[in-house]
Amino acid sequence: MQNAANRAEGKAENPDITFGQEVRNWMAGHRRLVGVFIIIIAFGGMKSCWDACYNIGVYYDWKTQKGYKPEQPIKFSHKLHAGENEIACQYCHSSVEKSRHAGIPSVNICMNCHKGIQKGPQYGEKEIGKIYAANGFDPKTGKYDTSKENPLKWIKVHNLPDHVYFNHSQHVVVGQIKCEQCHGNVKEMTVAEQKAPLTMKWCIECHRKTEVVMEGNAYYDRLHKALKEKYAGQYDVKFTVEKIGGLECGKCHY
Amino acid sequence: MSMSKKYWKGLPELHNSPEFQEQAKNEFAQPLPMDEFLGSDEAEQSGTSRRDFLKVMGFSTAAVALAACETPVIKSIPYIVKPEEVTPGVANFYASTFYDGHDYSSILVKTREGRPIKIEGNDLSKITHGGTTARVQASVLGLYDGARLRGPMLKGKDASWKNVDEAVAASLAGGTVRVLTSTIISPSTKAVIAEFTAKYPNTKHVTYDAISYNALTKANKNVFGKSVVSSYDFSKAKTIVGLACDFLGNWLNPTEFAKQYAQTRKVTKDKPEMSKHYHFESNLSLTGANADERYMVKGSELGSVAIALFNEVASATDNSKVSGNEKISNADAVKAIKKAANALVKHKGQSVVVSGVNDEGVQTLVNGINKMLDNYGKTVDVENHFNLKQGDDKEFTDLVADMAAGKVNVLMTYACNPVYTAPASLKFADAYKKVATKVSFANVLDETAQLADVVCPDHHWLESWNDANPKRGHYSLQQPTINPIFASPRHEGTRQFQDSILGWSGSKIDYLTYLQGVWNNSIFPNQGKHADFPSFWANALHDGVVKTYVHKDIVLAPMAKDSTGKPILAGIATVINELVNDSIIKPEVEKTPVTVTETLPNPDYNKSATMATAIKGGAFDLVVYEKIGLGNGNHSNNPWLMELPDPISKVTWDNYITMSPIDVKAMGLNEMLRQDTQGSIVDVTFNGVKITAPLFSQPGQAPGTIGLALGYGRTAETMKVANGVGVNAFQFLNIVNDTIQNVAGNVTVTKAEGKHDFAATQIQHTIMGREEYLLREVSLPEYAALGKEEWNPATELPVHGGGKKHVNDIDLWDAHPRLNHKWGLTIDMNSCIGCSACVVACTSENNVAVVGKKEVAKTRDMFWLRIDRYYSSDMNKAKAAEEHKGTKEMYIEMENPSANPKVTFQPMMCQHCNHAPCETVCPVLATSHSTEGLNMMTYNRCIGTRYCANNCPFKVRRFNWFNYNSNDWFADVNPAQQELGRMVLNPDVVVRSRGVMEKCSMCAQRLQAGKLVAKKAGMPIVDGAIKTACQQACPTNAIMFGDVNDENAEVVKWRENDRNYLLLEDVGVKPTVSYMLKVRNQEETILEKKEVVSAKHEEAHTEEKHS
Repeated sequence: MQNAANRAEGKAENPDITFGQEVRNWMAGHRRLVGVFIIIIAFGGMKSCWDACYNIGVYYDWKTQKGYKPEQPIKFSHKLHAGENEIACQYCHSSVEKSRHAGIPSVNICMNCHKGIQKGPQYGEKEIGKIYAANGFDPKTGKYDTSKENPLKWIKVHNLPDHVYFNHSQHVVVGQIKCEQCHGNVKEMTVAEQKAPLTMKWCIECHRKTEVVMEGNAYYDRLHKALKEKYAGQYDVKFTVEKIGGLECGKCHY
Repeated sequence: MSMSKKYWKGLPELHNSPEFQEQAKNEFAQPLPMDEFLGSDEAEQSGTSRRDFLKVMGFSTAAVALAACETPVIKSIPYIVKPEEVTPGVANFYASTFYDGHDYSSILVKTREGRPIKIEGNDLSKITHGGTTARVQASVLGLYDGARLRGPMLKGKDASWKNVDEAVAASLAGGTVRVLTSTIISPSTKAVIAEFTAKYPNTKHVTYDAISYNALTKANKNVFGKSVVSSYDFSKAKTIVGLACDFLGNWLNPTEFAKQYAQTRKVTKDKPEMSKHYHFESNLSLTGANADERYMVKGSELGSVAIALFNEVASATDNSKVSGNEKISNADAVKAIKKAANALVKHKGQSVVVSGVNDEGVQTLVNGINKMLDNYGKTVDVENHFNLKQGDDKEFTDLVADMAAGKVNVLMTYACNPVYTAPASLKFADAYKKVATKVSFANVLDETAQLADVVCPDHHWLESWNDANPKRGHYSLQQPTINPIFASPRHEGTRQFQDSILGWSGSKIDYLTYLQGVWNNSIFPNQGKHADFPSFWANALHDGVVKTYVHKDIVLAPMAKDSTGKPILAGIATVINELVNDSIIKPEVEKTPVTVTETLPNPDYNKSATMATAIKGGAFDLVVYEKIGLGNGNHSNNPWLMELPDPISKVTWDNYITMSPIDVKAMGLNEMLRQDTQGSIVDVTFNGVKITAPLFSQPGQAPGTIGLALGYGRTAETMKVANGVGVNAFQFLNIVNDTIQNVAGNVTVTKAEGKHDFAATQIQHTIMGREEYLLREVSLPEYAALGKEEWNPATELPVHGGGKKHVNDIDLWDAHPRLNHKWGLTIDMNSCIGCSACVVACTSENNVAVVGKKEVAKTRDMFWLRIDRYYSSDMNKAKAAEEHKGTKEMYIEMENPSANPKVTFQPMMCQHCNHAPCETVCPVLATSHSTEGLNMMTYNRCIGTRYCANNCPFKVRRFNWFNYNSNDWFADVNPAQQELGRMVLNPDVVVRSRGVMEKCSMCAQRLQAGKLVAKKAGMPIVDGAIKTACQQACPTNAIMFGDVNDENAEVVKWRENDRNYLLLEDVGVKPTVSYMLKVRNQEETILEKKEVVSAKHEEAHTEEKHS
């Protein structure tokens, strides 16, 4: 700095003091300030590391609300099928009310329609032809050759870790949650995209505010009565999933 | 003041020798093997500097961190055509039958995404009533055994089925053919063999059971003229006498007997009655451990017990006695025989005598006793006989003689492994080598298949169609629950035995069609329920079992065609005729007992008595026995069974010589076996066969007799789990009176060099005076006469200011209300027989890791559910006070079990304490309490401090020291390491990784699934709809689970029972699991109180009045 001042004043630079030495000198003179800076930087670094750790395995950007959107082996459009043609979700994802998995449709479900519809609006026969290749169907003769079967390998979009148990039927049948609530407006998606972070924080936030549908389900009768007694006289009490033990570790992790 | 004292680290420092001075300079006393570590020369030559090393390390860390952030591509591959019944994520259950030539059980197979993952009992079965055994539970793992053959073999090389069929066809022409099998209970398989015999008339079918029950059929032939194995009903018996008969563990059909037996042990205060069980045996068996009175008898004297009992009963019932050697060295046993005989006669027609001694003489005498006691048609039934255990030892030994003489050209072995199981005296392997064409149907390359010319691997039973007729009038179906795993195009594939035989007989139809033909023509006409065969078949498949009620006059419709319209083959007719005769059972058989008409005069019992004492004893007799785990060795290669602790000795991964502690001491061998002390090794010689085996000091073992378990000592190389574990005890089987017996008289036992490490899961054998807190027991007279406060007192603690308060009233915390469910589990210790079916069921349901012998020895076994076994001790607090013994002396003596101890089994799992000590010490809240009263363990939160395990008063928490499912150390033992073995894992339960704690979750996945079913149906949970895996497996209904908030639940009734108590209640942890104390049907008092004596008199008095 001294050299810079000298330069400005037209004086000769002091060759003995290098820039590094100058910085060191300055730092030696402002120890407290430097210390505070170092601490702030260190904490900042740790904080960002900490935040980064939270995002390991999360393929969703909270700000842009953009998620995992892999390219699929077939250019299948949810927008066309679910949106324009208004096919119900459960028609293809048929086990959503029975099982923990919503289910990827088997090829024979595609064939229910595509045995007749052999040409798509955008890609023509190319993409639909991949279905035929998967199950050995010859569109010309209308016959199946099971020896030519070659299963489709879809890429899973919504991935949960192995150590958590999630059951679709619980949420769809008992909780009466609409598909869109977690999966976004699939009817507008050409390529399926993850529309929720699928983190534990996200699960818990929902469990905290969602009320359990207790009316009309005899399973909850006893519990409902007990809860009403417990919270008798309190206004604005919601019987949320949290209130019936929906935040307990062992309900999802076992 | 300076320190004047100098402390030396040891004598070397004091002497300060030059060597010490030199050594003191080095930080490490022993030189570190740096060269070895660095790989010597290579390390020096390589140019890796410290800098490079750090660079590489830094890069790899960064790479790993980056890789972790990359999106994993997980592929989802749907079916091409989804089978209608399969929904991914939903389990399907199929009724089927387990029969491996040894055990029978009617079962349900749980499949997920088309692969069987769990075996459960079938409640519809009138034989097993939903019970299972450890072996049945574990058998599902055999399906995924890496040792299974992938295709047929010809002369030791892989071959195609075409070549094999050609080779067999060429050898069959003109030669003498013998088909050697274990007992076949499948009528259709019998028909198939008959088919084959029709095509090749030189064929003879020989039945041989590795563990023979031949004496039973011979005795029934002697007494009733019928070569059958009678069935038994222990539930109707008030007095049971067992003579070396492990009917609860292994004998005949233990699942059925355990169920019946337990019914006689469900005791209530209103009806304080129980069966009384006397047991005479040499080795401490599971049944002996459950007996009310057990007496130790030398192996060679078992026949004398039968004679003595016969004579006692004969004199009490005015029948003629027999003369024979009645010498029994144990004086207590002699007295007990008299007592047992009196009890038997008192309950004439309501008693049963059973013997596991495979001697015609003994069994004929036992039949005679049951006949004198009028038990036939009541507790013993020759009409509704078993079809199990039809092996004929004489035919087998004759066959071996023929083979040795070169008279047999083709030998086919199916469902048996005679090279391994035949007695050494037969020299089976030598005779086997003389057979020109040896065909084996084994699905692993076992000892017999290794020597065979042609190996035609059979399907696993979970891949096969079959049927079974275990008992007259009872049929069950076996259906495939998975496509054959080894099939083309990847492998040449396995082929079902019956299909091979049908093919060789020249038949074109497959076995399923054949099976349906048999059922259509024989069983369908006799069921009287369904009008047409398809609906009958569908129902039979659904239920898995069929009970035929046949009237004598039903005539079979002539059978021209089978269900597919093809003509029925020739051989079927004979078998079907047999079946028709066989099914003639009175329809009301279950209500009114069949009375046996005596058509035969009494046999010559004196001859039987002579036969019964044919085995001459010596200083040591050897009695070989079956273990609960391995049985006859059919499932030796199953790691679940290998790791299953023996219910009595608690030793895993081993067989060993069991010897009475008295003899062990006399021989100067190591008596006290703990994890830190090693066992002695002994040589045992009998008839020129010598083995070297470790020695285990077993309380309850009869002095002068040693025991050795069967099923170990496998030499087949591909059976990686079993190979080299233990020694083969089958060699010592002894052929006496033409039957293969398990007693070898007069064996030589000598001390050998070396030491042996045992791996036991329990090393503390006695309860050490803590009965009140852990193991409450009462004798039946005390239970009947005294109030609850005497034998099941409330737990009260002294409080400040004097007086006592119930432990529930002294509480640091407020109770949390359980608004919805409050799960509860209760275990009836009076019903628990220690059979360990629950332990394997738990392993299977919850993906519990197998850790191998070394880790078990370090007490790192992973069982979520264990069965604690306690021996009684001669020393107790009252006795110590009487004999003026000091506390220390008392406790030292308490550690030693009695010579013939009383045994108690206590299933022990996480008690789900409502004030759980583990929860308060977890620093990361990885274990917490649910609103349903369960102690939850969250693996992904656990950091492995193990504080919880330290703080657990029940020691039920298990720590994962390794990644058992991927660490190379466990490659041979842990099924989850193989691609195939991994298929058995339950997808609803997490496979735990290294560094986390785990424990019983009370089958959380089943509870959640059960709740979901109810929620979806909009109904409250039906009591009994949710069963834990242990409860489901239990053959004796000793475990009850339910919702305590549901006042009508069965578990609530159990918990309100006066026998209900909590373990360690005084600690105040408030367990969710409760126990019902054990009632022993014995005269000696258990409570240490004087009033009991007077009460007992009163009780005896009232009993006299009743009688």
